[in-house]
Amino acid sequence: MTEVAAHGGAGSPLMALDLHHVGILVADIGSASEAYVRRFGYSIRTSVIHDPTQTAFVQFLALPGSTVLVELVAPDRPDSKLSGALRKGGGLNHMCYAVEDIDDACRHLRAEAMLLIQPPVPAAAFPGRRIAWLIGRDRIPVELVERPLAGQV
Amino acid sequence: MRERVKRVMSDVFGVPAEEIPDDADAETLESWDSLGHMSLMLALEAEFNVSIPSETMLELISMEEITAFLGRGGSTPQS
Repeated sequence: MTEVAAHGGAGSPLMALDLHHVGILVADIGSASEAYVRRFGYSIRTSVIHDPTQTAFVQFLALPGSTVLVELVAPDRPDSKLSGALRKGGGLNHMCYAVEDIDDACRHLRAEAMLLIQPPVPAAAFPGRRIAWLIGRDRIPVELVERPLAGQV
Repeated sequence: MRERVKRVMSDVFGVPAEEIPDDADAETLESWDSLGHMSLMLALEAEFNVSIPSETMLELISMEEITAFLGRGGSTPQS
């Protein structure tokens, strides 16, 4: 079997990329988080955060000892950007990667034919850090977030 | 061609073709979000047997721009 490099090539921002969280679109954060705690043993890592840019409420959960979070996402109003997707059933919504240099990572992923649908902007859920959104032909929305400092989610 | 595009949009967005206006765009069709847009671009590529470069995908956000692109045979004008 051909050996495959575990990371991107030399100089690739992928060398500094971590899976930060998986976003799950739900109708109601409270009942969903309760189910994740009861069903899978997740613990709640943040309060419910209002993100006006995403027109959403979000909350982060994690399994004990895991560095990868689950982000529960719910529309903040009937005409939220997420309402249409929720009407189709919600569920797996996006994958988010933490990166050292978000501008460089955006350039790299655009060169990989991904569409930049939201250039880096300050994030309500991650104070002092920026997020960006892209989508590729696999149709999985990808969020990038600047890498957290110690103690940050 | 416009009616063919509407049929593709109807399949992708789950909206009856007769309810899609001639001036439909990403602002007026609720299902035309980023995921819907990528789904539409892939469906148009398959239906019209064209390849849409990613930079062009970002520009095809209305019926008018889509039909103009397809009318050129799926090529992007040189600036």
